[in-house]
Amino acid sequence: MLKNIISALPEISLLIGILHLWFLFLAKTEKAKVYSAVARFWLLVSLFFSVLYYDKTFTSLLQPNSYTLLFYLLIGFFAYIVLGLSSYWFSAKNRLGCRYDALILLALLCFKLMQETVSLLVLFACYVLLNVMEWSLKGLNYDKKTDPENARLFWITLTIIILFALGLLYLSSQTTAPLSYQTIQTILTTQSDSLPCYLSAVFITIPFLYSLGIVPFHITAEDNAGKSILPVSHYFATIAPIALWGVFIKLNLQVLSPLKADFSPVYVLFALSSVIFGALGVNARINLYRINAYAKTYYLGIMLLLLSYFKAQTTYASFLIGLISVLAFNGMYLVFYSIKSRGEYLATTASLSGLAENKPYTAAILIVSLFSLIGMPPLAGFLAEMNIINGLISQKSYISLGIILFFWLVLAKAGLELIKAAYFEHRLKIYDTENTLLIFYIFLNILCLALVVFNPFNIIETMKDMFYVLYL
Amino acid sequence: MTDYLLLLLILLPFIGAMFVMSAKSDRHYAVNNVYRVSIWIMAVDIVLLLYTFSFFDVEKNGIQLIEKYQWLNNPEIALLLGADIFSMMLALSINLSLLIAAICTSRDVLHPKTLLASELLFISLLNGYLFAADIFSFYIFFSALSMPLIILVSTYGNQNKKNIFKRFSLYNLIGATLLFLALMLIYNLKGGNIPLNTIGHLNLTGTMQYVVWFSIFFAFVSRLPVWPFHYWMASINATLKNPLVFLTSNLIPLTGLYGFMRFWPNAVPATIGKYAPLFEAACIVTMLFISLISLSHKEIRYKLFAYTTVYCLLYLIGVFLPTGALKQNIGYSLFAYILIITVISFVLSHIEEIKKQLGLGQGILCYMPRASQCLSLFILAAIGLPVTPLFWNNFIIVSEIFNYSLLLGILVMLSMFIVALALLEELYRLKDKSYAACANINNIDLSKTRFIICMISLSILFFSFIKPLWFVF
Repeated sequence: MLKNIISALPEISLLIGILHLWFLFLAKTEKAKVYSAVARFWLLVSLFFSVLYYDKTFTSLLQPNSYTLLFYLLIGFFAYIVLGLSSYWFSAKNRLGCRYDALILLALLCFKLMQETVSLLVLFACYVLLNVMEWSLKGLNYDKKTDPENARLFWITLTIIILFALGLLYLSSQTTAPLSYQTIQTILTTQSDSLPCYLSAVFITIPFLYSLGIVPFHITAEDNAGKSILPVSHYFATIAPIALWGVFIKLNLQVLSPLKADFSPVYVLFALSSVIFGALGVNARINLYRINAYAKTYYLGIMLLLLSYFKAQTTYASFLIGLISVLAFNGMYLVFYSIKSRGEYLATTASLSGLAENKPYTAAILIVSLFSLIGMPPLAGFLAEMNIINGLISQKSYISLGIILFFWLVLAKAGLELIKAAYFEHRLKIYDTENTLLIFYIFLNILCLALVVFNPFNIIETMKDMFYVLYL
Repeated sequence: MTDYLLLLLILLPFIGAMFVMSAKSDRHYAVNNVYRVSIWIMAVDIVLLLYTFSFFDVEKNGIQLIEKYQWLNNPEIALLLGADIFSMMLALSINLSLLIAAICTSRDVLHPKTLLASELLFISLLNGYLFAADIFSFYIFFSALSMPLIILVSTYGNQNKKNIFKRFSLYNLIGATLLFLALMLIYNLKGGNIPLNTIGHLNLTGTMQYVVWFSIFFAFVSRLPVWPFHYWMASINATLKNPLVFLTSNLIPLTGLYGFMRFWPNAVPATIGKYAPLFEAACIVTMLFISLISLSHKEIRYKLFAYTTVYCLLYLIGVFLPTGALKQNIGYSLFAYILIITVISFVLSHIEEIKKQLGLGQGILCYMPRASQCLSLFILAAIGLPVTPLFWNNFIIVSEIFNYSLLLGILVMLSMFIVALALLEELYRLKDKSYAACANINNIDLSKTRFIICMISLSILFFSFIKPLWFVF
């Protein structure tokens, strides 16, 4: 019993964190920073216990290992920044942010369980919970304007969840054993020619493509970033993609691999569509959050393309690219938090005008992030570019490579527009003073990008070893 | 220390750039401090270069002083540094000319911190580029070199700098992406990073060889002012007023030239080599057009840009000649060419500044005897006065071109002649007393320090004329 409790300490810490936030709310604490500090404290406790008991579990439904620890540490790191920065936004808006902090902790719990589980039922349950949680996060936009689009999106999400459930129902009808990854893989191997079986696998995959925002399931991707409040948009740009990608890789390798011959060309098609759509979308938008959302679609397209080969080398490359791009997106969000004028957070490309004159540190993180996204050596994006090209050449996918490189330049054009606005345009707004903690986060992000580049203590190799546990 | 000399030559200016960036910019003494530190760092870098020469066997061909630094284990990437006499000569001349330009540039400029930090970063990356001895290090420095230039062009370009920035960045990005594609194909074929001097042993066949070699070709061409890729360079280089920025911007084509020098001769297979005359034709068309335009252009800055373009393309044609014996000559000639452009550039900046202040036009040199002497001497040296290595070595290069093709030789000579005419015409205008407006102008000449620097530069060139590697003991 005690052993089980100890093994569950990372999850328990998150739950205690949520309860702690609730108590603070009942005690009428009115400072957003207090809620944020409490959430971050319990997050750190959870991360600490995760490292300590990284392979211990309280139930056979979960199988934590180095792979799951790697992803949890990464999402924990981004969550720490997201929680830290959100408090400034909530303070500026005279809001508590209690619900937001609790939802983020809950999301982390969902992601952790999704990473570690080997049961499709747990995965389904966590996915539903995650969608409810994300729906609540999007509801934090207190403008209270009724958006007719919301109802449509609600029904789409519900349909996708129902499809997931249908897939599971059919697969459960094919076996008496619990719906573990291993069981489903065996069913898919033995019945690979069966259409219902194939459709069930498709129904399991679609929800993840939808949540990741891969074309043609990108319906909510732009609005998640563009219509939500800044902290929620930050969550969708950093925590959600890296966490879901970890789950999606595991699902593909441990469940869907018998269908890889059928899935691979479809993935390639979706991936290239995402690349094209993402690169064009970035150039077509002037809202910074939406630009980021499209850039994310572009990178997710590349990641899916690399995953479509179902090879260890390319799958790891997809993870590394995801990590580097999310670091760059995080850098962009640090800039978005910084461009505030008279208490209002600005969100258009024009609001970057004259940034370099006023806020050199913020402009520095912008240029580092953008150059990194463009793949300029020796920045971290260069490693991503190298892994992409190397992966595609090794698979002899020259057409895909050509398409990716061409749209890379299209994406770079949009990046250069942002640099142009920040460095060459004249100042249009007077920015508010920069918070010292924001500068700390800026340096933290640059440090992380530098760690990827300089690879001290063989950090990249350590990450690789942790990732490859998935193949053992 | 000798094991880390090349790394030190890269790191020292980089550390200097970091220092400059961290300095306060709101106080006058801080700006002066930044200048002093930058100049000292450049000077120490030159001393280190000369010290490095002492470990060099100048009789020996090929890469020497190899240094290896492991970066990533998987994929295995180690940065390999090394130098040969050509890269050392180029590094020395570039470091020397940037030091001269830094000393002679007015301190009353916009954003002095940005200027000096970018210059130091440029020196660091350029040293890295010249000493890169494997394909990855080469690509990293090739691509990163555009960063300081983007900053410089965007800060000191003309009114149209926003569009120039975008065009310049995209051009460079396309070039860098193509080079990276080619290098990754080689990397995959060879199963790892390879030294630059083994490029010639690649056995590429079929479509692969076309993709690799044409990608490499276009990557380097993107840095050269060759038609039809010349437009961005003309729109940038001809409009830069600051001599340090002008010089830096004019050094960028040399990186393309150096790239060809490293990759092309003796490495390119015959199936690709047969297309070389097409490129030579493009070069000669560019040379002729730009020299003719310079003749009709009123701006001396443009004439200088035309001169640098024509000579850069002359060296490029030299690189493309089937003979591999010209490398050393091109190196010695480039050494003089860079120093000459540096001096002309800062003297012209001084003249332009005075012209702007006094509203004077032609004939201004009549009131500036020191500037007049410097400009006359260096323009004459630039067009072939036998006092610098430019004379000897250009003579050999042009002879080889004549040897290769009479028509090509005639056209090259013609463009060199026209561009020389354009420079002399402008010199005449600046010196012509009949245009001088008034006689009561004092204290507008070059300062004694700047004049001495010009003379020191001329002495260095003269010694190199007698013995090219006189500074190697």
